[in-house]
Amino acid sequence: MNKDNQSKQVKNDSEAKTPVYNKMTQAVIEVSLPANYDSLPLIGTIVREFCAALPRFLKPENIPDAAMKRYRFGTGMLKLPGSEATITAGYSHFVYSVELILQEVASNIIRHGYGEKNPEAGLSLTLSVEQVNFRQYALVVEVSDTAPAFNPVLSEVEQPNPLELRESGYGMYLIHKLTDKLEYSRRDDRNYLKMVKYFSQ
Amino acid sequence: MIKIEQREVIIKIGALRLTGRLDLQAGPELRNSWQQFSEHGINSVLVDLHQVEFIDSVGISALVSGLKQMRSRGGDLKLIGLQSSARAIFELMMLDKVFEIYNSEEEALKGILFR
Repeated sequence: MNKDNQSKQVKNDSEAKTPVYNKMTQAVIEVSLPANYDSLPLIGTIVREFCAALPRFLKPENIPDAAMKRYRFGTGMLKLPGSEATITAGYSHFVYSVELILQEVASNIIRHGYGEKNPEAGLSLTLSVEQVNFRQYALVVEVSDTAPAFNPVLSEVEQPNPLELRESGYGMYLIHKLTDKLEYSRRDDRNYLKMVKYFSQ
Repeated sequence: MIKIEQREVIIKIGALRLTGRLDLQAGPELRNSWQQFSEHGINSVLVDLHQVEFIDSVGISALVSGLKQMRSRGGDLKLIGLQSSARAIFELMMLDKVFEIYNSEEEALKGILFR
């Protein structure tokens, strides 16, 4: 009945082109990129396009209008003071968070992992969606690189005291704070960092 | 009998309007702007972020650096039009407690002149 309306709603919310994952039960994208700063905006675009397809991936045409509004992307990020936790706000914060996490991870790899001076260096990015249970889904992002072993999970994640006006140290905190699950492994001389962010309907 | 001496008081306030992504690449450029303001004796700055779609940790650091520099010289740095997703990140970092964030340039100016 409301198929057209809902499609439009999704489109407006995400400002996306027609999503391509319409009938799929699992969405996966894998990208290999040169590990340099020019790749950062591209990573952002990939994240936004992938996430733009998520509401369609969750088959909104099968869900009545009212239920559509109950999509919850992320947990703590939804409720901003003075704003309503609508799908628009929640969804765009969710996408923004994912983009930010990935920017921080990729920046760290380029800057500290490869030390900015390795033109042949690359990093791989995999985005996928898993259904955790009836209502809950996981956006799983994995980044891998061939830089020296580094385990961000073990990094210090104390919240920077805002009053100290620190000029660094925000990145790693954001990575930890914005992910629901963070797993590191080292295999075949590669670093693998898996980040999970849950959302539900 | 009264003597009226009329004059004009000129207060220099810097203003930046940023467009695009305030990230790793933009951070150093922004820091450069603080330096330029300082060379011109400007220690209060308005930073318009209406057109900034994304801010990463390096961008945050650059803004904090500006705030620190301006405050150390008795001035301030005000943010204008921080977009809601970026604002959520500022709140997460509790940086909304140290930055004054306004919706319009007019409000931010009042914040500087009448604090």
